[in-house]
Amino acid sequence: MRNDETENHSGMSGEERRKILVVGRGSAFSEEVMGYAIHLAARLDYDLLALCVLGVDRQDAESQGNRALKAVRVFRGKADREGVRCGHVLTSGQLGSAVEELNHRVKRIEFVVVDSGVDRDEVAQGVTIPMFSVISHSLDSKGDHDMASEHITQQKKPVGKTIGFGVLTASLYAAVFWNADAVMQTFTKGGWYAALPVATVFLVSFVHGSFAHNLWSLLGIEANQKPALRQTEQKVIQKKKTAQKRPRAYAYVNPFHRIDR
Amino acid sequence: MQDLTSQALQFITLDPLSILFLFVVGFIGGLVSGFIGSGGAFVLTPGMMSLGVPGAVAVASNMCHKFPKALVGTIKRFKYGQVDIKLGLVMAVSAGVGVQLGIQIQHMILEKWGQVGSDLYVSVSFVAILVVVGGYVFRDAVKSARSCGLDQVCALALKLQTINLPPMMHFKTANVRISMWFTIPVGLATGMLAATIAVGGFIGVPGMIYVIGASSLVSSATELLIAFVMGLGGTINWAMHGMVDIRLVLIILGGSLLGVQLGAIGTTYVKEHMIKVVMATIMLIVALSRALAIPKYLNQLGLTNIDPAMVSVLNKASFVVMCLALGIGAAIILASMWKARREVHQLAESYAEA
Repeated sequence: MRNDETENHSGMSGEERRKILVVGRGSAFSEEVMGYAIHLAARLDYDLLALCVLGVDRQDAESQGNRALKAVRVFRGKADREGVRCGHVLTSGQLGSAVEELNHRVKRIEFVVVDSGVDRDEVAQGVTIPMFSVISHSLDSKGDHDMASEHITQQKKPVGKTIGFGVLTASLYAAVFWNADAVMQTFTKGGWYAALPVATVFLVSFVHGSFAHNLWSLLGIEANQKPALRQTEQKVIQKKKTAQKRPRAYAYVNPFHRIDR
Repeated sequence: MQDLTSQALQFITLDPLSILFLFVVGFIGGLVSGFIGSGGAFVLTPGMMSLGVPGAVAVASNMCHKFPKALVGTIKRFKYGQVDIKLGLVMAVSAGVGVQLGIQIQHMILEKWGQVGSDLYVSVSFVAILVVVGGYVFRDAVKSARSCGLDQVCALALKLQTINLPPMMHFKTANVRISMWFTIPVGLATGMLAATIAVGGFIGVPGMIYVIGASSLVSSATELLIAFVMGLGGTINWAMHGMVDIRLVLIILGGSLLGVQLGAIGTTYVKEHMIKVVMATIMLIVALSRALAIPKYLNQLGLTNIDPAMVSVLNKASFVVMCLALGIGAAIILASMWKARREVHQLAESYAEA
């Protein structure tokens, strides 16, 4: 069995952290399983361990290995951005025995998240461990990968809207500046005439605001989609971390229980 | 504000250069305020005055451009789930009271020490507050940059949150439960500062971060809501005196509505401590700029005797540094946004290859 293992990031000194083992389908991880696992790990304050088990086919081994490495790198990059530690294991052979061996070697794997299409019975051959399967929709009927990034890049560009709001904005500006003197005289009369400038800027903020919004998305500058939930989630994690710092009394049933670390 | 109507009104004629200036400053100011919740006003008001716009009209027009800009920014950032509406409204109401308090204090000082004394008071409080708060924010930004960009909740905020002084308020988006008695002073201070130096956000955002305990993302987004409410109130007041120059407002808005959206988009890419970095940088440079203007007032009060030529150089330098503050802030935002965007795209590409 070939093992290419990178242990979790540095800074792991001290207590061994709990982990979620994520099993990919062959040499790939679907967008869903990555998202789910990272999300869960962040919420629980666990680490991740990504496992790719390659087939035993010798001919294809190299390209498969490269693909798996790339997939793992993407996964780790994503986890890193969310502040979740992620390690990975690339191995070849039987899925069941790989999981079994890993479960013996790596401490504190709490449960397993598997991608859709992974045979759960095979994973759980030699271990007793809770397992969650993520139903992934980004796999087409043949089980092939549907490029997740296509959803992002192939959005329709709002050309018509940009032009429409652009024309509206321009005509609004023209209307004010064409007759600037008369407009200024009426708008600065004071009293109830105050409603005029206020109403005008509201209108401008809608029309020109929509134009600006569409213009930026036409230029491909759009928000990085992050679930809103993540904002509060970080705070929950933060609270949990501070709570953990409080001194606590521990009673160990077996005083030698943690001596092997 | 009573004697405003008596002031002779003259609305300037616009030439292409000043239109360009207002548009560009509007854009950069919008970019910064979309990102950190406020900004732009401190350059726009003196900028308009240097174009020959009377002070009151400059202030009124600045305020009239601020609230639609803040509205657009608020809506945009609300979609990203960053705005705490309840916190914003509570802060806005107390800030409204704070503005009235600030105006009263200004009047007292004006009566006692005259216009120069009032100017000196504004400058000194400007410098003092910005150096203290800006320095603190900067130190904190560096600290959270070291701890992998995650925001740490300030110890003071955590302490205040544990004090159970009814009525307690729960702010859902900010995920904070804190007594009303700690929320209102932050709003009051924001309003007082807004009345004094026209940029309440420099106290409001740090206040929400360090006293109330909201994240910098939520604080800066909520500040936009506060700016909208206060700006709308202020504009109605000014417009009733006929002080708003709608042409100036529209030109600035032309740039700032583009900028504010870009700034809001930027917050979804960068790490949270970048908001603090940008805010602190701008605050410290603006403080320097105001410090350069102090000798003029000291001279006028007869406290010092600095060469008038020197004073005029300092005065010009003060305005240049102010523009620099805005420019540097915008540059940091764009650079960090560019970097973060490239990372996201590289990730997507490498995934497509894999």
